[in-house]
Amino acid sequence: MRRYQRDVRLFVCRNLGYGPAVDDIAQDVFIEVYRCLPTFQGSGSLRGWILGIARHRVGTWLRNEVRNRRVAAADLESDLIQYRLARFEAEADSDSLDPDDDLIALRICLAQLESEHRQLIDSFYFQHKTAESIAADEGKNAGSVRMALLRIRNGLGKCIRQLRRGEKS
Amino acid sequence: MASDSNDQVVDKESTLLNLWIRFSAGESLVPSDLAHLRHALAVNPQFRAIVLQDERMDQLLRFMDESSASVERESDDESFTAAVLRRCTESSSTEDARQSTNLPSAVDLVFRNPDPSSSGFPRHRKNHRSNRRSLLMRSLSNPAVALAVVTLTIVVSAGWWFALHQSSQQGQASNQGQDDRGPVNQPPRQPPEQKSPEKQNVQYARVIQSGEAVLTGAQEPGSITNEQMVLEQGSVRLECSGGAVVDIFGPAQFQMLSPGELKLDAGELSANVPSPAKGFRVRTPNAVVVDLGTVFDVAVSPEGMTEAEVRQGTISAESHEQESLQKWQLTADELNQVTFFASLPVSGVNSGNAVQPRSPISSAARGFGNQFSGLISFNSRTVKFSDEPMFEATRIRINARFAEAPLEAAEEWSHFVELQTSDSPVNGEVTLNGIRIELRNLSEAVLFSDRLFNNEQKSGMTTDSFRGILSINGQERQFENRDQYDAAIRELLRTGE
Repeated sequence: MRRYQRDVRLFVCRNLGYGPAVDDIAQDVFIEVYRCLPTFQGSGSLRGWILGIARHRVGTWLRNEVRNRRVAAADLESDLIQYRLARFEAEADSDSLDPDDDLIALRICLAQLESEHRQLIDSFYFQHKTAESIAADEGKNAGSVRMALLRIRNGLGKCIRQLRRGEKS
Repeated sequence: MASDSNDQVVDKESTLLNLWIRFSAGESLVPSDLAHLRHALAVNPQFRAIVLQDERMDQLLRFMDESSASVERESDDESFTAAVLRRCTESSSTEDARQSTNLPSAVDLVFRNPDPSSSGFPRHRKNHRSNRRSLLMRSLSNPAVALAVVTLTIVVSAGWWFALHQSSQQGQASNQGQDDRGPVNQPPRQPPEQKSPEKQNVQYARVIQSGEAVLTGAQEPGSITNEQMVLEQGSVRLECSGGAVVDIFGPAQFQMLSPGELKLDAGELSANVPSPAKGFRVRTPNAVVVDLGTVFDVAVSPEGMTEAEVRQGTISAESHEQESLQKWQLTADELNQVTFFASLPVSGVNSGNAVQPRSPISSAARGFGNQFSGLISFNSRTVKFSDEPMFEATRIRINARFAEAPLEAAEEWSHFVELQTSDSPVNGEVTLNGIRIELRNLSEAVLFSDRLFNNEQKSGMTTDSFRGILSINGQERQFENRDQYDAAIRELLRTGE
């Protein structure tokens, strides 16, 4: 389980974001894996099979959330879930199932960042400093730190897309 | 990194992005800002793409941090594993409990004629719908699965194809000597009896939530009696007196028949049924869905097709046509979706003393791991399919044949049902305009013919250019058009019996 847990969690996080649902869904996936393992026919990889189950669970969770919120709430979070579902369904048609691809590409792109940007990412994501404390250290306000992080993330996303396009071509 | 359209949007929409940053950091925005952000996301696809990408990058970075903290994760791994194992145990106990109730399986319930090809539902798990076809193709790469599929398709398509054409040659004369399964003198079935509530204007449900709903038919606002309701737009959440909570999404037409039964003529609903309300029923134009303690969705398309999907627990779903024996038991973890296809209208035309058979009834269930199971009932005989393309091809053919000549269709169906259990291996090839095409089974021969002629106009091929030699099981026949091709298959099959 440990071997594939990371992959499943990454796949779920990639599509749903962080939250209590991630562990629940990852657990659901492995329960299903245990129950269905005798039927695994070995025509593909076990990892691919498990990720296929994860894909199904994520899709079901998103669709259920959209349905549940159709009446219960009309708010920004509901809108975001709908947009995530649309993205998930659009991506389901592509061959980008392997979540590790994004993580590998992200590592490459992080290595290409300017040192100032890399430092900001390190501080915020890996040293767990808050935007407020980073801002205080650098004499800025927290809003500008968050905006800088957004711009860096935007650049990282662009870099990953370029890398993956390059892989395909 | 070069500037692109996203950079321009980031520059241009900095106010909106500030709102997004504040929202994603957990800050409470004032309603006007929230509305502004929601509107921008709805109408500006570029902005939406940036937000979704930003969210994903944030998640990946956080995940990278989590996966790098291996020491910290070790204990998480253990608790995760423990949680899965605990839930596994609970889950299997629930499963045992369900099985101990001796609920009949879908297979047990459905078949009047035992089908040797059906060995119960395969225990695969379903993947995403859009992935279904590719998984089928992948599963075909497994020799055992491929052999099973090929065998099934040979038997099914040979029987169906042969029966159709053989019977059409025999014509009306074949109506004589029918056994009790035939359409002759078959009494017309009555439509299922509708429960008519004895009490009028008793509140069966109340509206507890409304999402921009335009609901007509209620005598008192928020109160749902047995009146026919029309939800023109929006959605409503009903709390039924029996305890079920039902979300209905417009446009929809529905009627509460009792506190525990709702008739859905059009539209979609989602029902959450707590234990005390177990047995809640949704009646659609061609099916009845019965809750067995669950959360499920039902949709009725404008064409009259009913789709049901169970999200938690178990439901049963069955055709209105009692004699079709099309009853499914769906569980969230196995077969979890069912479609009841709209029946063709019955013209009611009699031919001599023979009463026209009722139209074919078809339903199909899907589930995890590309599971598929389809049923077609006609003339009191039901056939099960586990191959979706063959089910679709047969469903379309039998409906078309029924619309054309109901009595002959019934006759042919009987032949098909009988022949489907026969085993006639087919090994052949067709040489078409000098090109040799191997046919590994009759299904390929029939589908080849269909495909070729369906695409005739697209490819520019004319019937005249469709000529060649068909060889099945060592016997050859020449053909120069489709009729001859079909006749050759028919003849070769007949001689091969």
